[in-house]
Amino acid sequence: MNLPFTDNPYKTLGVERSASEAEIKQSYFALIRQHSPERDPEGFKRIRAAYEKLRAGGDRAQTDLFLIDERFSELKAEDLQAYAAAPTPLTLETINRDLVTLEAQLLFEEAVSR
Amino acid sequence: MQTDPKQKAALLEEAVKRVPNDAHYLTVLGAFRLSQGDAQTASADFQKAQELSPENASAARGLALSLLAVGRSREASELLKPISANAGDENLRRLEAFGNWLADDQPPAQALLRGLQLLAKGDADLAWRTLGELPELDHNPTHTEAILLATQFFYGGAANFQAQRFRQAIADWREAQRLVESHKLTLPWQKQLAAYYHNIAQQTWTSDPAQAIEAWQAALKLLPEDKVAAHNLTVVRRALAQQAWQAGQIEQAATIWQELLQLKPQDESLLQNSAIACERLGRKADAVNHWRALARLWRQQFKQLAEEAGFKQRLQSLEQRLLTLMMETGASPEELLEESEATLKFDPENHDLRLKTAELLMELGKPQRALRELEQAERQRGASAILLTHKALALDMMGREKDARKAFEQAHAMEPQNKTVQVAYLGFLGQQANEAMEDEDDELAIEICETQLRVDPIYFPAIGMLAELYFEDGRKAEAKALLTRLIEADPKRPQPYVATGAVYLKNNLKKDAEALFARAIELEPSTECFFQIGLAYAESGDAKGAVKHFDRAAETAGVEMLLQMGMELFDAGKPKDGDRYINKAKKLDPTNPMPHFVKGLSVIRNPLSLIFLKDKDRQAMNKNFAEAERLMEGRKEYDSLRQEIAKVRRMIEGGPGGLPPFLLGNDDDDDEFFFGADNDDFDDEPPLFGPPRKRATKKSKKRK
Repeated sequence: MNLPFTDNPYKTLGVERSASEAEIKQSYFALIRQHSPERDPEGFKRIRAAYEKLRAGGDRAQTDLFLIDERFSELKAEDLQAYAAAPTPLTLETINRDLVTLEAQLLFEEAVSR
Repeated sequence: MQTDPKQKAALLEEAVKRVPNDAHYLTVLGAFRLSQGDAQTASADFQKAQELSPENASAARGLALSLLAVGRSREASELLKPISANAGDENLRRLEAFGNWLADDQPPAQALLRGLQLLAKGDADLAWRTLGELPELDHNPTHTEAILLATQFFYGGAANFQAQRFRQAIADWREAQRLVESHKLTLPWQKQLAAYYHNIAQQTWTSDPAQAIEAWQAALKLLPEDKVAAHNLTVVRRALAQQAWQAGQIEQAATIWQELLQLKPQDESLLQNSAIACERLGRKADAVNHWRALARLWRQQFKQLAEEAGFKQRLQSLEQRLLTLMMETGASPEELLEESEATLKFDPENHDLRLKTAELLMELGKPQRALRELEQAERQRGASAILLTHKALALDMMGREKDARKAFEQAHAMEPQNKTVQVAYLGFLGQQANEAMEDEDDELAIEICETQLRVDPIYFPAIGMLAELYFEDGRKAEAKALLTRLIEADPKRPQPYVATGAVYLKNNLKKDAEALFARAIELEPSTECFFQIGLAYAESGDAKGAVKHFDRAAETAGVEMLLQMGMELFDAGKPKDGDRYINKAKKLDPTNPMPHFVKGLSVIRNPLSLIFLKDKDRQAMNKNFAEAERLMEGRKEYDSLRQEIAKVRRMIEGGPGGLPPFLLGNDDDDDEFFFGADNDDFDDEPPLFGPPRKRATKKSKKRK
């Protein structure tokens, strides 16, 4: 039995980056019950290695420093902001308005420069 | 000109009030009002202008436009017909076509109007094709042409947008925008562009994130303060970077993160990810920049977050990593000091860092400040052997030698086996012993050497110096006993035999020396061993003995050793033997310019020879230098050698007055001159074989 292990010890132990020492320990014990050294030696080794990086007295700060922040890897609609305006529908009226404004501008520039 | 439309209108109204019967001012005011969407008032302005000046084509044009604005297109057409026919004015003709198009609903001749008609009817495909028919221009577009062309591009883009051809739409708008920027235009449709870009991005971010990114980037270019575009762009690009990282595309991830940092330079997550990616890619200098920025941010937050679990430790880890990396990338001591002092402000209890800071301060020649740091460290944690050693070094630098010695003694008493303490203490004492010898104070020199030997009973520089002092004072038996101690401490290695033999040779105990050399060769008949024995002979003035051993070494020696031996023999007055080694070095590495340089220099190693330099020798020197220069061509690593050759040439021209110290025999670093500071084989460290030559030279000069 193998788990989808990654280099991220938090993922290996199935805990959040903000997990407390107690939570890390709890998750570690739960995992090694499932992946005991006899049943899954490879799995046990990796769980153990992940725990070593995060356990109290280990160098969790060092581990954290070299872990990519993966909070933003999944693209979700709610993370995006909506733009307030929609494109103006192109009708004869709107086009006409644009063209009149444009011609009025040309006339103004021409008259001013005269 | 005023930019605020209200102010502009007020100014124009004031002008009309002051000169109420001027048709021109009224036309300008009307045109401005119409451009701002106030068709009713504009119409009255134009009417009054036309009443005042019935022949004024601009007023008529304005009036027609205000009629078009309120949907009275037929009236506008009627009004324009007679004037445009007579005036031959392109603007009027265009306006008439515009009026006709709106009044008659007939297909107009101009591509723009035809395209717009199709667009208004919802035939996006045909509209796009029609709007794509651009007028042929054989010149750069005029202001008016630019306005019309940009407008055509804009609506072409709108047609593409309607047909869901987003990429082409963006390309059209980019063209429109280019014209707007190059002609500094402000056109009515410009404000719609952002909405289009956002709409495209919203429609495509799931299916085609690259397309969405392009659209948001375009929106952001249009309005750099567009926060929605900036936010969404960051979110999507960030996700793409994460995905790239997870797929092992580190380079791509790093590029995106670093680009995003341009938008959000204070984003901790981006800084951290960029630093990690740069480290993974081996770009240490970039990693340092990102870590430094992150460290600055975290330090600023220290007061608020100091209590947060793990924050302080993370910051300490970061600082540690940063300093290591800065040292690896060759950061200057100034930069390192700046970083470590900044860290000490928030982490004043960091003892190791305080010691490191003191070290850096000493490195920068600031022993007083270093001492202050060390004293603070001592107050915080008490004295330790290492701390006292640092203090001693600082005190020594400040010229307080007695205090320094006291501190070294305390450090050594605290941890007699500590190698760092020992090395620093022995070095300090060695310096003191040299000074005593220079002052001809043999007693003090002996006392210091004896102290050194209490610290390290087989410290060779002390044994060598002490043995020589004993020999000079006629204490032969003591000297021999001392040297025997050196051999007994390490009897299976050749080094102590050679070193002792060298001292014997200098003190005319040739037979004893030969016995020791024979034993050394027996233990290790190596190139290095023969070389060092040869060197001992050369230094004692026995050129024959030197050649005998150098010949054995030369069988397997490398270029640098061959050159060293050659020079020794030139110095010893054995030029033919010296030449043999130089020639061998040339054969060994035909691309190396050094043998040619050394050979060229050999003719002037004696300053007197410069005065009597024969033409033949000068020619030989020039020939060798020329060959060295040929071999150095295009090789930057030989820049300093090139300069040296030029310097020697200048000196030859200038006569003996311009001789460098090494030629006059009062320079201690002539080996460095020949081989550069990187040559580990010939540096000034206490030699493993043979006595410290420098000290012997000084002694022979200074002592009676």
